[in-house]
Amino acid sequence: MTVINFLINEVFVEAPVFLGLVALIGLLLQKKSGAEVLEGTIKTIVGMIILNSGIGVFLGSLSPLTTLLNNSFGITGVLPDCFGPYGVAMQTYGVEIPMAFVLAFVLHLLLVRILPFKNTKNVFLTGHIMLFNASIMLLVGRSALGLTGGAQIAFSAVMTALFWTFMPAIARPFTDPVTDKRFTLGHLQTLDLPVGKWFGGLAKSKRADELELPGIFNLFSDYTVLLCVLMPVMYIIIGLTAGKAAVDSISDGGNWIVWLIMQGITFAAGIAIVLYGVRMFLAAMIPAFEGISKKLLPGTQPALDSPVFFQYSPAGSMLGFVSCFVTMVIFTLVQVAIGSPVVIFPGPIFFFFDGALAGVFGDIHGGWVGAIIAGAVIAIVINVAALVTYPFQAEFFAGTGLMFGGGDYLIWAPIFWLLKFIGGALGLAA
Amino acid sequence: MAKKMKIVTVCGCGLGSSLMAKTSIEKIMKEFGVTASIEASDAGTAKGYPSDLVVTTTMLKPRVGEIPGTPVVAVKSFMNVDELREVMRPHVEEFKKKNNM
Repeated sequence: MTVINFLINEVFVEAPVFLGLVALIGLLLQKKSGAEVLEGTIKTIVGMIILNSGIGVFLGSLSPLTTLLNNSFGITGVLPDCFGPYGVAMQTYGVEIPMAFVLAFVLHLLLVRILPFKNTKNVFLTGHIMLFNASIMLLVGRSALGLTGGAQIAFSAVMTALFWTFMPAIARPFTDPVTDKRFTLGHLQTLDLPVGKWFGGLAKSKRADELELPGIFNLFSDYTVLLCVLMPVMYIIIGLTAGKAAVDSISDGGNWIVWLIMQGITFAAGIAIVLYGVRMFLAAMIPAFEGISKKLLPGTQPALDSPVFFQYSPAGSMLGFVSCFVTMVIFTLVQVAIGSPVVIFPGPIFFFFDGALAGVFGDIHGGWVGAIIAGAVIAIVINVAALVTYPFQAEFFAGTGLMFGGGDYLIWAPIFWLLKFIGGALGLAA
Repeated sequence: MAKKMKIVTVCGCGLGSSLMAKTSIEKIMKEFGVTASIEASDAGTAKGYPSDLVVTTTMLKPRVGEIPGTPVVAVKSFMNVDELREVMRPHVEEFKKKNNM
């Protein structure tokens, strides 16, 4: 008994070890060779420690910026993101997140198996999004219902399983004609599809690929490069607005503009580190999930990451991304102008991937003008979703300037608020 | 022990579609009868990571660029197993020849 207690209370509560254990099971289920199982497990454990150090790197560059905003303008600036908040959440919920993630997958397979609907026959396989889902649902359970421990994990697992089951089902009518029923979308970006079809479809223009787009657009097909270009710009804009004196008061001396640029690049570097850490774990888990679902649920469509759709309109994805970015910048400026107490910054992961996906479907249904319209509309959807879900995350992410974003949470927000109302009525909320 | 072929799959972040490609390529390599170790990665990492073959999408190919000593092949869709198999075939055959397999 002492050995088991020791393992449970001292060893498995270490997040990297627990994650390694989950990966180990995933690799064993794939019947990998001994060497590969060992390699994958070790890489997952190391990946988690790499991830932890990445958090320090980008928080170190983000917190001066949020301090600047608070001190100079008296506003709370939040950056909706995914990898950053996930890293922060893992520091508190290092065991709870992977537990909810695995449990939710089991529930998800069960739901797909028993639900009679044709459109729910999909298996959600976008691993990083799955981790983000499990994380935000843990936060909602805590904030809305005051849940902790096992109940919090169970709540997250159920909500997350519902998300993975129903969001791809919403995507199916839009993706089936495009992918010939081979795969569908498994993401936080499901709303991109109706937005692309309904708003983008309002336009009647020639397809985006018939236009000649300048080569500079290609630079932005790599996420790290994109962050390294845009984050320094964002830092400089905020720095210039706050003024040299304000920046000097929080910097380490040296030229203030150079300092702002370096902070922006450091942020990008931090995210790149976190990405690397996440990749190790997912490389062990997702093939296992895929193998299991193929065996248990033959004939289901895999619900995949959004870039698998970019091939249907590479130029549309670029237009959507640029239009989404511009709209988000305008959104932020309007918020500042009207003195909004919470200001949502343009989240690079969203205008990059969401903007692109909306652009693809906008282009398919309405040509290049459709792509631009869809990018702009989805920007508003994402930022409004951020505003209505921020109250569930504000306390947890206080001081980091981060939050979990995602356009699809706009559909989930009413449920979150209903739970909060129930939680409040029952006196549960923390 | 037979020599392993090192293959890197590249997508925008290195954890979405490149991971799906990894599973498909694992199957393809089994058909070819060559053991392979496959890593999913982003464009930047792929450049600095020694491998025998880099597989990416036509959209990302300009970002990966030329890698001295390593062939880079691109497919329109990572989800199309037949397309993957065909672009990989000449390189896998060459790897087999080089290593007397």
